[in-house]
Amino acid sequence: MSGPRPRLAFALLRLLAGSAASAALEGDLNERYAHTLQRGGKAAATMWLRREILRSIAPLARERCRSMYAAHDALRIAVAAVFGYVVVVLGAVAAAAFSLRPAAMPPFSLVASAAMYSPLGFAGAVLVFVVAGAAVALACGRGAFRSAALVALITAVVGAAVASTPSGSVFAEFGWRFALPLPCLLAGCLAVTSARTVARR
Amino acid sequence: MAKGDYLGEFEQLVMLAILHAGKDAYAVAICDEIVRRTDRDVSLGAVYATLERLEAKALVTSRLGEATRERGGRPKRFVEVTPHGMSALRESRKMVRGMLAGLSRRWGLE
Repeated sequence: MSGPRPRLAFALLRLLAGSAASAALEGDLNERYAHTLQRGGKAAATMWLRREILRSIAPLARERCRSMYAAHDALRIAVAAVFGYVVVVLGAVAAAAFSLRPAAMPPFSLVASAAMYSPLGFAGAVLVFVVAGAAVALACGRGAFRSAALVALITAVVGAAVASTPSGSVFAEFGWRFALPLPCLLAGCLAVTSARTVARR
Repeated sequence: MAKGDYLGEFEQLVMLAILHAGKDAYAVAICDEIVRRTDRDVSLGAVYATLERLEAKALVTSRLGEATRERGGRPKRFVEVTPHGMSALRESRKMVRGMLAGLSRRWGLE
């Protein structure tokens, strides 16, 4: 191919297209570039090449993410867990705002208090999150988004219960409460994924 | 038909373009077929991404051809529709026909 070759763009395409397809894609771009060069001149060919590369990045990147997401259990689980965690935070913020109103306290907040302020309840909360994580890992089959929705639902319900204590200083305690679900979820996911890996062998 | 075998609109276009292009079907020819027959401007990247997806579903297969000088020493990637791909395509067309049945006269859909 004669003319300027946008090295960075080609490197990006190589990365996105994967090793098998990138050589053919480069060849196709070279072929089309030469064709446009003959018909419209160098400026038109260069313009075409830049436009084509720019237009190709988004679909290739999307496909790359999709295939990685589908192929790797760990990535799928991590996305599900992070997605669920975000929903926990949102649910907890909403529940915290709700619990600041005196009329809204019992009986919901009694359960939450028991869960968070007694050692047994704390262990129970941890267990619930671990079980939720394990459930996500088990559900992570082909329907990755469904499993993300599942963890979101479980963690939103549990997270909302945990966060809606009657304490007026709910916001002061945000930090450690929200630090709890994620490692527990990941621990559950990790346990199930490891068990699956061992079982496959 | 398994859930993952349902074809999207662009996937159908690409598979039909492969059939039109015949045994010399590769991304440039597929792009040309789609542009010529639908007047829809498609990028090579979009075609490659779709081919990757179709190949992962075993609806198409690909092989690399010879590297040529005019292509900067890069090979062509020839693709063809598998028997499984053909049945997925037939099923998709059947579904569309089923949905269109009875609408043609009233709405002018064919």
